[in-house]
Amino acid sequence: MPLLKYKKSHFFYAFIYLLPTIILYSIFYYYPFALNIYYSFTDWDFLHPPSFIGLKNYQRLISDPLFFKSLILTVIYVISVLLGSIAIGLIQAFIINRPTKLAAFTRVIMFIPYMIPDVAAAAIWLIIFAPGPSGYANCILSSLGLGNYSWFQDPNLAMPMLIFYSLWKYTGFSALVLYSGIKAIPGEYIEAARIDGASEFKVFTRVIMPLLGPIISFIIATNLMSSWFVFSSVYTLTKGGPGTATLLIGMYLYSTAFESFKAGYASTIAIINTIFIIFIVILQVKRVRGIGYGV
Amino acid sequence: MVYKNKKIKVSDILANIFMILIIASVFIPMYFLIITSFKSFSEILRVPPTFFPEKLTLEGFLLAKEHGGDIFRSLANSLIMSIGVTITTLFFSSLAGYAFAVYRFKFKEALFIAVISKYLLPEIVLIIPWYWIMGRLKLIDNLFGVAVVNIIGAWSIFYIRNYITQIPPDYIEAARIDGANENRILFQIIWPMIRPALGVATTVNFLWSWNWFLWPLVLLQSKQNFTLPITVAFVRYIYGGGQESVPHYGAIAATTLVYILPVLLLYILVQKWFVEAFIATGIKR
Repeated sequence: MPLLKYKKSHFFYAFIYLLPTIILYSIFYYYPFALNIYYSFTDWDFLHPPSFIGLKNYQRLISDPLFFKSLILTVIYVISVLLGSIAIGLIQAFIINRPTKLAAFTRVIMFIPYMIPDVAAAAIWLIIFAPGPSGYANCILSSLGLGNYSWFQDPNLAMPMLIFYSLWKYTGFSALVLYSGIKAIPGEYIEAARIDGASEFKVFTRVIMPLLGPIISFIIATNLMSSWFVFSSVYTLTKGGPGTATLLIGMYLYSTAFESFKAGYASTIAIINTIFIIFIVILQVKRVRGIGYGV
Repeated sequence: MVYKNKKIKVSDILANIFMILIIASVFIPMYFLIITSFKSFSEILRVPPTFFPEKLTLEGFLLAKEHGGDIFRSLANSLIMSIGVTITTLFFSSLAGYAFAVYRFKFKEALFIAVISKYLLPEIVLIIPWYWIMGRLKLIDNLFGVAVVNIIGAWSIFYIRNYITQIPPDYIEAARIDGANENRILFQIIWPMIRPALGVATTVNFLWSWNWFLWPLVLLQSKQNFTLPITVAFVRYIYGGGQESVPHYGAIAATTLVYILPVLLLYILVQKWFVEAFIATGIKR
């Protein structure tokens, strides 16, 4: 990286150019982050001034069954969506990697679910999976003799439906990133392996997969945080319900803070999750660095 | 007689079926969205549902406008906020990106890391303090209060800086010798050279603001200030047609259609930037 020689007037410009960033970041990111840490040690309802209660919120967190339920639901959600979208995305990436017009068209179209806003995609699913016999999905299923379902309002179906929805929504991204990864693998590697007598399966497991490893880490690193704190789709589709069947961490946090007005306790939940997620993302980023995406 | 079969591989057929399924999984939901938004409410409730609407009406749009907060007002709010955020982000991020790329100064590395680390702070850990700050600034239920926390993007700074570091410093030196000041160099020499980066950054920031849900949901309270995603989420709770428990799916569909049309339009116009933008960031807000 070629740098210009240091000059006094440049220091002046560097200062002026960075000033808005420094001011706004201090006010809207680092100060609030510090405030959140402080709030996590207080009892606060937004109305009265926060009162310091030490580690009580953290003790409460450990013995909060609803927190553990939402933690388990979040882990199930994140693992199924990340692994599912990578596995399906991998198959999809190989299939669209061919020179036909249909493949080129698929590459353009398959990205649409990922690109449209979460709230809009969720609303479309609400319409299709409307409960009762006037819903489109129910109509198609009952014409096949498969009966009626309440989908997002059914306590047993809501969570699988949420995962199904997320796979539909997010797989296009994994597929496209993996596709560009596959295209970047030099053809000689695969040819050489074939000449050496490797079976197609061996070529895949021993040559292609190791080369895609960092790309998979990239997908995990970039999507882990957004899927851990998934909120917009959950809010639109189920609002955490029915009951607490889809109360993922993001939703639990929101309802604790802005529906039960326990801002202190919500801050504790937020800070614990943030620290945990940053830790995992940093681990993944270390593996990604080699491929130059530069997260 | 020799039959020369053109070799048709089973794997090719399977691949084509798979691709058609992918395309269908995108087009069929879109089709349902469009027909539902133009159906009358009595037709929406019909059993079995009609797959080709008998009568096209604007009932959904009118109902959403009447009860769910004016969708066209929300559309205007969303456009104002997204365009505003995009412009300020591009401007301030260019300044910061330029400073990080071409100047040498004390604590540069530390400052750069501090700026980039913002990327790791999830919005959810910030909204409670933000809400308190906005209460202090008297900005609750204010569109400016929604936008102001987001007028400089860490990702944009990083992305623009990376582009500027690829420009040979001779260009900048030559301009300086010719007597151009730093502002002129940045906006008249560097900006035209990093046009692709600015295009991608525009797309990313516009979409992020367009999709932004959690913080506007927390801060905005009155219908005339809602942005589109908030209106879409609230339209869910309009009931109609004498059926207390059935949401008005026509209103939901109509609002959603208004919400996604600009995005689809953008995707058709600048598809290259879109894909590049998403692959470069991957992170959704």
